Amino acid sequence: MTHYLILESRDPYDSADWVNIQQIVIDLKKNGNDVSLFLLQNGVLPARKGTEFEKHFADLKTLGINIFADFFALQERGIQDLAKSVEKTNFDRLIQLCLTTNTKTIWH
Amino acid sequence: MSSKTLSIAIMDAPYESANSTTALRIIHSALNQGHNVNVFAYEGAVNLTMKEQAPHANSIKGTTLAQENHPTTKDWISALFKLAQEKEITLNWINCGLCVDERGAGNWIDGVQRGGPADFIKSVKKSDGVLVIPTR
Repeated sequence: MTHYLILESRDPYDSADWVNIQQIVIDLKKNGNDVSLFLLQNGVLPARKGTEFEKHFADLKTLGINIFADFFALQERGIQDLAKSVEKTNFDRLIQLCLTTNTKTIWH
Repeated sequence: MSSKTLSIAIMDAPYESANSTTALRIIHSALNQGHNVNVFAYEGAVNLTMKEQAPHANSIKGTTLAQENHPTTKDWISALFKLAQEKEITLNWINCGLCVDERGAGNWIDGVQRGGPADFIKSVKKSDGVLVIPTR
């Protein structure tokens, strides 16, 4: 089974194609792959608690997709409270995920 | 923990994009965990390692050179080479030769090598993980 690590650096407020990547994340999972979504840079913005995207991340989690957010990007943007489905972490975790056997890492 | 190898391609020029900082943080994390890293710097990213980079004071804020403590990418990358040496692992940094020639950016810090996209393909084949960070 392939593990896809999707690194999302963009946010839905600025990038119209954010929604396309989210659909790819869902499609990859529904096609039998393991999928991890790692939010970094402006990609952490929709992970704030209380945004309209909270349900979206909850739906991804229900599908079995793990969602991570870079603590450094959160700190830079003054974000303290995260959507419940998103786990605050660091790049050490990103490296561990990236170097996991059968992983394909995709940057957006 | 066994040492693995990460290959990473970067394209952004220094001081223009958050991608540069992110890439250097990723490389640092991999090295710090004892993994070997192959970097292929393409297009504007060949300027990250230019030896002539110099920090500056900020006349608008009235800060001196020391107060400003302006980080340069070449110093950050030198520190990454030092970290790799201390941990007895490999940081292999290749600048795209044609990109260097186009930019006149051939005077690098120690440790950087000249190469081409074929070197990246070779390193990908021998790596446990691959990451390409394109320009936006």
